[in-house]
Formats: sequence, structure tokens, C-alpha cells
Amino acid sequence: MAIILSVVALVLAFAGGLGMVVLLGRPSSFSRAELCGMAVVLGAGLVSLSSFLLGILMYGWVLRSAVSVLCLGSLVIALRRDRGAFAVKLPERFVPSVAPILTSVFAVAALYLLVWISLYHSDLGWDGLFNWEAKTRTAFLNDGVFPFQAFSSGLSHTRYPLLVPLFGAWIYSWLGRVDQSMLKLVGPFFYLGALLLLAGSARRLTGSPWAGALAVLILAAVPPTMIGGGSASSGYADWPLAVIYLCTLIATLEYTRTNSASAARLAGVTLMLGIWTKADMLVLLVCIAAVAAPRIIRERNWKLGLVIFLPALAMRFIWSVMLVVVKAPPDGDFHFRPHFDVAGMLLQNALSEFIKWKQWGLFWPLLGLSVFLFVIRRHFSEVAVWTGGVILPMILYPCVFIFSAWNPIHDHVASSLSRLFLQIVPAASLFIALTIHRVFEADNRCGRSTLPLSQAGAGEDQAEILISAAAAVLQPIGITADDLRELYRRRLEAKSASENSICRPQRPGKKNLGRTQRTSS
Amino acid sequence: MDLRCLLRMLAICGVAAFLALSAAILFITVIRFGPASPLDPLWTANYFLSVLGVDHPAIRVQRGLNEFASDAHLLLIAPESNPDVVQIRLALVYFAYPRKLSAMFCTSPGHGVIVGPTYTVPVDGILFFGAKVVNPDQYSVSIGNKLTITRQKSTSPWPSYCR
Repeated sequence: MAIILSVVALVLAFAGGLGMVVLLGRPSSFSRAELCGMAVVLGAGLVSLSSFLLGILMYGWVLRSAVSVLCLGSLVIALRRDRGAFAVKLPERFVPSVAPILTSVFAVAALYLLVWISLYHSDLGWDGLFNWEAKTRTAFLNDGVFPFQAFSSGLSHTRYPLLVPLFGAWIYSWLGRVDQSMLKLVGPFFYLGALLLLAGSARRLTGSPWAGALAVLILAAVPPTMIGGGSASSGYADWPLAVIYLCTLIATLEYTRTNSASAARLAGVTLMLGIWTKADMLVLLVCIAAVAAPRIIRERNWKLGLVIFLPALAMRFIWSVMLVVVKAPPDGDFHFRPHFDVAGMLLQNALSEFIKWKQWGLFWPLLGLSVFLFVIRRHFSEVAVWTGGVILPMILYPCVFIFSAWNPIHDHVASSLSRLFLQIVPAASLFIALTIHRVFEADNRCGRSTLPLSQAGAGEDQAEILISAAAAVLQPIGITADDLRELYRRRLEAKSASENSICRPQRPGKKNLGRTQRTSS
Repeated sequence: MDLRCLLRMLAICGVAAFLALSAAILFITVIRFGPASPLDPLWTANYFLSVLGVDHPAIRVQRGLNEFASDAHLLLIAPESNPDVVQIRLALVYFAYPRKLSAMFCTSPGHGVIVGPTYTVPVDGILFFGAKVVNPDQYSVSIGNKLTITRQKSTSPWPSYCR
């Protein structure tokens, strides 16, 4: 019964998240898997933020009912506004395809293993219990509202934001009791989101379902995502933050490719939720800025820049003010006195982290190999995007410890660095899958990139958007989107035949529409 | 062999090695798990309170603290040298809520350091962990031989409990 009630709480959050994704204006190129993955993130955020804000006015079953109505209401409004978002078009003839089946098998097996570990073979861990679950319990015992007095009650790390504790309190409110075992379902919930985001994004960005299968397989095969402190089974906030970062990065990449306002909105909201999850997101905010800044500056589109970054900065400011008002004691982990003398030790620790094969397997060497493959293909125009999204966090996170207040600092590094690196793993898995897929595709496609570019894919995406819009208008007279795609394909064929290209042009078939392409120079 | 084939072989070998090693690590970890633990609502709290050396310590501590009113102010006395004091203090703060809990970590007889919030009101109960119980004739509950929860209203200076 406890599992069923927990699942009801998670499904309600997912429904609310799905509604929010559509109401924010989903990017038309996003697949349903990606939308569902984002719904996981936004659903947790919706429940947590609404519990916090509505908790000022109400508590107990009234608060739970209000949050439930908000979740279901947003889904219903979204359904009425955008029926196409949820329309499932069944194929006329079902043709079994190996890659999607394999993706599903990998995903289900990984999720099953994780749920089994979470429920029966792991505890919450030190941080999971004292930093996170203790606040969840406090909020639950206070009728779903986190009391201001609790900030100075002796709880550990009260300055940490409340996405994870209030989302946990939502589950407790459905259970009607504290249950440290059921709380561990939060990790698998976010893990499901990561799998959906990876499968959907890798497939969309490459046009191949095999890339999606590879991305899912890579993530599932990183042991620290399932086992140990910070993992999805541990009850720490690091895993939810990792998935939120992946979500933000995917939305930001879409913005850099297409200049899409809806992608910018999604990036802004998920970035804000990251700040509402853990202070570490401030470092990742810098990384997202590095990804988005070239596009914002080139286009001089400051408005969309504000859309991406203002909610997160506002959230950070409001939270900081609130901590001052409630007189929350300092955590004592960091201070503003830098210790540059530990730089060598930090470098050594970071490098040794990458070769801890008993913990990480060969994940970091595989990432290194992917960087090599990425560079050797000479797609330097993409360097800014992936350096900012994957490599920069790996450089910045060790540097954070220069401001550590621990004595000795080495203990702080030893206890935290691997968890910080875990936050990059889903994003790095996507990068690896895309890069390796390109090794098998690039030459066949005459140098065309499968990775998202800042400019190149925009034309194709715009064509797909126009085709969809035109099809909606022309459908009454019998012209479908497929007809328009065929016309578009013929036009491209005629155009490429007339060009004196060094390479033999690829037929831009129906499957390739919406895919990032770049002609070789 | 051209560069394209070399890169492909490199990619295949890299992914295969990564998957093989990861599968081995996960497999070894899983077979070392032992029997499944029950779905205990206080599983982790029991784990951290296992230093008390009794069965289901979380429930016992919760019952002991529930003897006090919800606005009670409690004081934990524990020797600073005990390696388990931090986790015991955090666990007691966890179970004491909404009661307030202050802590005095004794460094020597008559001396100690206050850890966590300091409340200016008199205490309604004193919890002794690994420390000599003062005024044992008051109502008290012992959980194992390390933790004793006593009900005693006191305005005495906290270091005086460090004996």
C-alpha cells in the first residue's frame, strides 16, 4: 500500500510537470520522451515550490488538496490548449525496430535494478538523513509546511534550498507517515527523467534511435549513479540536481540551435529549479552561461538572455534574503578566504578521481576518448557548447574547494568531489553518445555534423516548423505534412544536384528533417 | 587501415571496455549485498542509532522523547571525545522536533562547548550520552547503556553537568 500511495504522489507530480511543459510552450522539435523527462523535473519543482508558497496560506490536507488540484489543473488546461502535445499517432503498419526496443529494455532493466537497490539494499546515508530527510520530516510534522523556526533549530545545513525536502514531504503527506524507505523512490523518479531525456535528446539530435540506446546504456552503466553517497538510491540532492542540469543543458542547447523562445523559457525555469535544489547549481549556472552566451551576444537577444538567467538569479536573491530574515546559521563549509596553496592538492585529487576505476569504471577515460574523437573530427564550432556544458564543470568544481572552510581541506575534497562530479554524469553521457554516434555517421554524411550547432540546424528546424504549420492549414484540402516533406525533399535534391560539391550529397529524407546539418567547407 | 576505421575501432573498444568493467563492478556489488532489508520506515535512523546497542533504537528514542511536551527544551550532555557524538546529536535533534534541543560537549569536568543553538530558557530534560548521569533519582529512561533520558527541570549552568 505504501508503494502505491508513493507512486500516486509521483504520478500527480508528473502530471503537473507535463502540464507545465506544455503551458511554458514546448519546443516543437522536442520528442515526447524529452517532454516526459522534462515533466519529471518540472513536476517535482511544481510540487515543491507550490508547497512552499501555498504553505504561507494553508496547511495539512487543504495544502495537499490545493497542490493536487494545481497539478491536475495544469495538465487539464494544457490538454485543452495544446491537444497535439499528447496526440499519439499510431503507424498504419507496425514495423518492429531493434533500437527502440533495446532502449526500452536497457531503461526498464536499469530502473528496476535501481528501485530494488533503493528499497532493499541502501540507506539514506549521512547527508540523506541529516541534511535532507530531517527537513522532509520537519515539514511533514508541521502539516506540509517548512517552519521558519526550523532554520535555527539545530538541523544540519539549514541553508540548503528546499526542492528535495518539500518534494519528499509531498510523498509523506500521501503516506500519512514518515517512511525513509519510500522516500528513496525520489531518486528513481529523477532517474526515469534522465533516461527519457537522454533517449529522446540523443535520438532527436542525431536522427538515429541507436544514439538514444547508447546514451541510456552509458548512463545505466555508471556505477555511482546507482550505488553510494550521492547516487540515485542515496536520498542526497546531488542526483536530482544532475538530472535538472541535464534538462537545463538540453533546453539551452535547443536555444543555441534555434533561438527558440520556448526553449529559453524551459532553460530558465529548470535553471531556477536547480538553484531551488542545491547551491552547487550556482557553479553550473556559470557553465550554462558559457553555453548560451555566444548565441545571446551574437544575436543581441538580451530579452531571451534574461528569460534564461533572471528566474535563477531572482530565486537565489530571494532565498538569500529569506535566510537572513530567519537568521539561519552559517553552514560553515565555505568562506570567502581563498586558499590558493591547495591548488596542487586539488588538481591531484581531481585527476585521481578520474582513474578510480573501482568506483567509476572507465567512465572518465571514455569521456576523454570522446573528447579526443570530438576534437579529431575538427568540429571546432561546437567546442564552446560542449566545453561549457561538460568540461567546464569538471574544472570549476575542484576550484570551489579553494574557498573551503574545512580543516584539513583534503577531508572536504575527499567527501564531496565525487558527488560533485556525479552531477555532470548525465550530461556527459549525452555528449559521449552523440560523439561516438558521429564517428559512425560523419563520413557517410560527408562531414555533416550530428551534434547540435549554434547556427547550422536552425534552417532544418525552421523548415519542419513551417511544414507543421502549413500542414495544419492545408489539411482540410487533403495536403498532409508528409506531402510537404516530400516536396521539400525534392527541392533539396534538385538544389544539391545543381551544386558542384566535392562530396556526394546525402539524400535529406524525411527522417533527417529537424536534424542538425552542416555542409563541409 | 584508414583513419575512419581506426577511430571506429577505438570507439567500439572504448565503449566495450567501459561496459564490461561497469557490468563487473555492478555485478560484484550486487552479489555482495546480502539479504534484502525490510521496508522499515525508520531504517536509516536505526542504522545511525545502532551505536546504542539495542534493537529498534529509533522507536525507543522516539518514545523516550515523546514523554516531553512539544514545547519542551532538552539538553544533551556528551563527552566531546566520543566519536559518535555528532551523529547522536543530529539524530536526537531529528527525533526531538518540535522540541528544542541544545548540546553541551564536555571537554573536562566542569567544562564543555555548546554545540548548535543556545536557548535561554530553563531545560525540561537532560539527555546523557556516554556521560555520567547527574541526579539519577529523577524520572529517567535508559536506552542501552549509553543513552539516558532524564526529566529534570534545571536552571543550573550547563557545564556543571560535565562530571
